[in-house]
Amino acid sequence: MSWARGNRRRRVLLMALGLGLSATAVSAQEPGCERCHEELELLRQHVPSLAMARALLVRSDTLAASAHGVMTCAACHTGYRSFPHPQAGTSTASCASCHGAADTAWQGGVHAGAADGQSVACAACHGVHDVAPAAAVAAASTDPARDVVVARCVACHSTDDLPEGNPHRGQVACTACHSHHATRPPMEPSSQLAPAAQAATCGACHAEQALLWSADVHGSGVLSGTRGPGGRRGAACTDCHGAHDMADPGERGYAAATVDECAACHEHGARTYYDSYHGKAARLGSAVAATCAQCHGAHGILPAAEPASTVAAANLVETCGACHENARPAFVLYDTHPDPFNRDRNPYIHGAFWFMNSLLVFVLAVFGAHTLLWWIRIELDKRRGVGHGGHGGEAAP
Amino acid sequence: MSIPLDSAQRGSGPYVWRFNLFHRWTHAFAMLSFYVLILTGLPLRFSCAPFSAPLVRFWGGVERAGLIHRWAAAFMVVYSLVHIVYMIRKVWRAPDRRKLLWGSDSMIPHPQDARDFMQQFKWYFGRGPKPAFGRYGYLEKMDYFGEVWGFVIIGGTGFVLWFPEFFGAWLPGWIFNVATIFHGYEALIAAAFLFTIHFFNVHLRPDKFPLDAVMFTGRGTLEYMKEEHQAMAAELEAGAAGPESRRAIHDMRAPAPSKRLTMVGTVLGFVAWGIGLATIGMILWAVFC
Repeated sequence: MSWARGNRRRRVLLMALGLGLSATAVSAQEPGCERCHEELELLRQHVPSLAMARALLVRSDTLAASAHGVMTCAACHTGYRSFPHPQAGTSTASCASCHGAADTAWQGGVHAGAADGQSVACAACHGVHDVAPAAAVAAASTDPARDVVVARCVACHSTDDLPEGNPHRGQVACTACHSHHATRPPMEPSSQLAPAAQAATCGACHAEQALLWSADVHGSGVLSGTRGPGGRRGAACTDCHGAHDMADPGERGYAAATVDECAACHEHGARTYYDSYHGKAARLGSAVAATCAQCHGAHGILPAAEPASTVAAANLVETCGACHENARPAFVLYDTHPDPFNRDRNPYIHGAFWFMNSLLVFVLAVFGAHTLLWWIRIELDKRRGVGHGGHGGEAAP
Repeated sequence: MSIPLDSAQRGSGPYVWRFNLFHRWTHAFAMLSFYVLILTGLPLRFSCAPFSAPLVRFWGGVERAGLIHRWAAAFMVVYSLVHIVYMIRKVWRAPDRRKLLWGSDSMIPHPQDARDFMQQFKWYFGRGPKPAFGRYGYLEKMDYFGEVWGFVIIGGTGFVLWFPEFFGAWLPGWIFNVATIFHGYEALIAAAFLFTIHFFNVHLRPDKFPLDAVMFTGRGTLEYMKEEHQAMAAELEAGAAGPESRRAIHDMRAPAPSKRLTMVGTVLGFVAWGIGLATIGMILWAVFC
């Protein structure tokens, strides 16, 4: 939620500020590394191979543009303070020595490699001397920092950015949903994308929806673990919206497509909906026919028994009235989920259904037999050579 | 000479009138509006079927299909009203009203029709001759009153569904659920009946195949009439009466239909049963979705 986000921002800002101040102090005392480390030829003379020389080459402008631009080399490369560099016992300070909180979070995340032993350390994402300014990476909701983050994640995880049509494409970086240091797989309970955690993660931007959701059938199911249709414990954000395949609610056809998402759990509701005019017209591309969310709401869905529900008997005139201007108390007795097999739900619908089915079967049976027997009679007569009144002979004069 | 495609033009004898221009235009209007209604309504009835989306696109979207559906319905109401006026005028002006309503040329169902129906089944099982039908046998009466019944049921429920907010102001909303069921099923019965049973009886029967264009040309040979409407043909030959009474065969004699009219009738007939059988195919396809 916004509190968490604000807190994170504040923390990052303070850290950047503190580091900046201390780095300025150090940099004035110890200049001179660039005299060797910016000269490839010079380095080559002191190390065994060209590859090693290249690895030791650091451009001062790269460093200057980075988050660490105001720091001296020795702030990280603590063992190399003196020259010539000591051959043994040299060391490089770990990132954790300054970024302790980030390190702790990273240790608990999937990139620490506890599960598969393949650690993806700070440099893999942040780079080395070109480490991006922390505040830009953390916020990462605007270019070009967002693109930097996405580029680094997709280097391992995928061949492309989010697919076309995803409203987050070009807007939100991977880290905004997956977290940056404590990244954990969504199926793990401790993940920031675990069902119960999504309200906080998605709610960082979508606070209003998250708040409504936490009190509705889907949210309370997730948060309390109560089982609903299909044995599911509610539904979290991504259960309906999808994740990387998320569609834009502003797109044409979105409303009709959401029915399929609802149908994944509410099979009976979807089937009976498609038996009503709303469902049939929506399926054929009507832009005005009501879909699930128009009647039930999207983030504040409540069962009809609750007085605050959009589909509570007392609220139906208002809910239906959103489209049907002259909706009256009688009008809203329309069954939007007719089930003709269920006599108790509505005996008139049930009766009409069976009457018309019986009529259909009766008419087709009687006249089907009438037709079939006629055909057989004609064929039998033909075989016996019994003419049909000389019919089928020559044309009339 | 080859056998004419139109079974009403086969056999010998002079041509006699069966349907006047008014009958023929009314039937053509009924066909046209019914086809438009069934092909605009079917996709909504079976929205899950694979053919529904393309069919709706053909009409220009689901709203446009609905609009065309209602225009076709309004057109049907108009010619039906004209037809009713025609019928009233005909009864009013009949020289012998009793004979018009209860004679052998009548369109009204008589006890004889029930006997003919039983006789038809006896004939199927070789237990008697084929019934001798008058100008209208029980099948024609069935077709006609079936349409009247369908018009009342489908038209009435369709009207309710057309103005939901008006009817919903004073009728319980589930009336639209019930209306939808009556509307959709009655349309299904109508389509199934017309495109299988009516088509077989009129066009596809082996002794009439491939079609009978009498409803388009208005006339058939005397031999055709003897085969299909034996009682009427006998009356004509005996110099008895037609519907307007006191009309014998020389009054009912028709010129042979022109080549052009025959062509129009034949093409119309083929197109009609082509679309009809395709519709039956679609319905059967849709039932399993």
